[in-house]
Amino acid sequence: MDKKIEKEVWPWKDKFGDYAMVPVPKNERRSFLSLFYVYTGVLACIAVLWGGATLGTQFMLKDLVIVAIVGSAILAVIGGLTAGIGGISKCSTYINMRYPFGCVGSQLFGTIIAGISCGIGWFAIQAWLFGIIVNTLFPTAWWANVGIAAIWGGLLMMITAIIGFKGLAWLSYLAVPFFMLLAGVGVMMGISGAGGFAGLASIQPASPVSFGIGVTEIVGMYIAGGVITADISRYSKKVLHGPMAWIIQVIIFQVYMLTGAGMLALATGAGNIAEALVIGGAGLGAFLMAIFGQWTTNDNNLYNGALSFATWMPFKKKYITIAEGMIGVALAAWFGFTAAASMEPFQNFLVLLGKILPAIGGALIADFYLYRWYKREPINERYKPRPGMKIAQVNWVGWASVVLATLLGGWVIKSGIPTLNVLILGALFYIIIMLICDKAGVRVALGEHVINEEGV
Amino acid sequence: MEFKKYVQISTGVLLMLSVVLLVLAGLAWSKNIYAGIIYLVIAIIQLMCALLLYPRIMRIEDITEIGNKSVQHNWLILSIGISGCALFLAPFFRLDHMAVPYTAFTVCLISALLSAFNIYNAVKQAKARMVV
Repeated sequence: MDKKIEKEVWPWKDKFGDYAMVPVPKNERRSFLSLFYVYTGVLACIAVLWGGATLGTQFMLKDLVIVAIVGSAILAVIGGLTAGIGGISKCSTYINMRYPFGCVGSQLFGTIIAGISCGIGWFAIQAWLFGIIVNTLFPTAWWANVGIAAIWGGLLMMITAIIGFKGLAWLSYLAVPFFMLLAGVGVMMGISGAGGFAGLASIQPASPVSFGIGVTEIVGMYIAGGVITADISRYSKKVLHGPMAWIIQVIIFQVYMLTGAGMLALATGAGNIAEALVIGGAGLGAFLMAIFGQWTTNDNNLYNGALSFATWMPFKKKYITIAEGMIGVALAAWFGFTAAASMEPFQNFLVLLGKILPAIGGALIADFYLYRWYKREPINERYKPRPGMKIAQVNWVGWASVVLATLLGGWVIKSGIPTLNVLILGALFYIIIMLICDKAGVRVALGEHVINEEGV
Repeated sequence: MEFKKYVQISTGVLLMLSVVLLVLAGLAWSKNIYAGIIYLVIAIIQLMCALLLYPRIMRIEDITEIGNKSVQHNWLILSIGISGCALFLAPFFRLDHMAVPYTAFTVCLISALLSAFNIYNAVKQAKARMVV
């Protein structure tokens, strides 16, 4: 009976592939375990181990664990809320963004934060970093030249992103258990290197920092992932599967991985996790860590970027993925071959773009959970597109909230956690301005767009 | 061979391989406690993955559903097998007599290959989904 109803209720055509523009149908939805693996696959990356290793040079073991728990708890709340939106709407972040920002807003902001930033920028940087790590592990091999490794590494990362959600899931199935074991190996190496647990717990960090800075590092490291959790949770069979999968992986596994890497760094004094693993004697494990770690993260960068480009590019998603991947690989190779080139200006530009992301997440959360609650819209009916539905071209309140929150939280306010400040301000500005406009009868929607059966 | 029977037999083989790993963990424990722990963890995960498949498919007759369950468990066994291959020969887990690590490596390699074939077989024969 369900199947019959499903066929009648799903009135869409998936013209662009991987349900980039339309809700995921019931028969394509995946189990809790599948979502958990994909989320953890994104987390199971060198960046997290590197983050943990950095904490290991900044905190004593007990403080390190507390910092990791607090930072992860903040991320759990943010990502859990956005995952819930995807679980209900069954649409990607960029389609969900149509409601608080309008059709043009979702295309513009999506392209800036996910398309250019993740899909091309961070993809290139991660591919280049992959080249550097492989070169560190095998300094004399020709195939481990930074530029050459960046090319083959980047191409590898493209494969699973081109396949789509299934590709991300396959790779995560392979990589996640390995990373969990590797973090455990880090713990063992740390204990062994320090001559026991008591020895490890008493090691003073090389460059101590304040508690706030530590939490900022953790939140900042992964908040981009926290805002775009709907891209994966839209595949969930049940609404709560996405938030639960996200929260468990962040609260348990992120803390575990950060602590594992931190313990290794405390014991070896090396902030570079690849180097620490090699020193500790992880052997082939260090090489697999480099490959799996970058691959599972970077294919998600490309995947999310392609989803955002698909909101306005009239091509199949896989062709968009190939095109942006080739640009990213070319950039990574260029940086790799011109060894003197510094990526700092490029990275600064991407960090700048990244400051907008929490504000967008804040406005999205405020619109879905607060404004629509205030409007008495049932939660299961929110963000449910249908063919022929009219939406605004521009919702100026969303735009204004993002600009104000980014400027104020990113540059003016100097205390607290900048990324969290921007997110909270984004939510506050959005809900306050919307409520004022609502009471005053001010029109917030500019222009009108009718959604067709392809989701465009 | 009937698909359900194949799954049960191949899972039995995987179960035996994990028992061999358990024995090797016991041998490694006294020489290098860290090696013993990692052998034990890998053996227990493989053992549980193989063991739990039996009750999950016991009452199911639909071969696609059996295939889906088999794919879930074999993905875990495959990835843990690869992890074992990558870690057992690492310098940190070195033992005085390398016969134990090499045997463990071989056992893990066999279980990884068998589980990869099981996934392929489930998709091919039972039309199971690779992403479940």
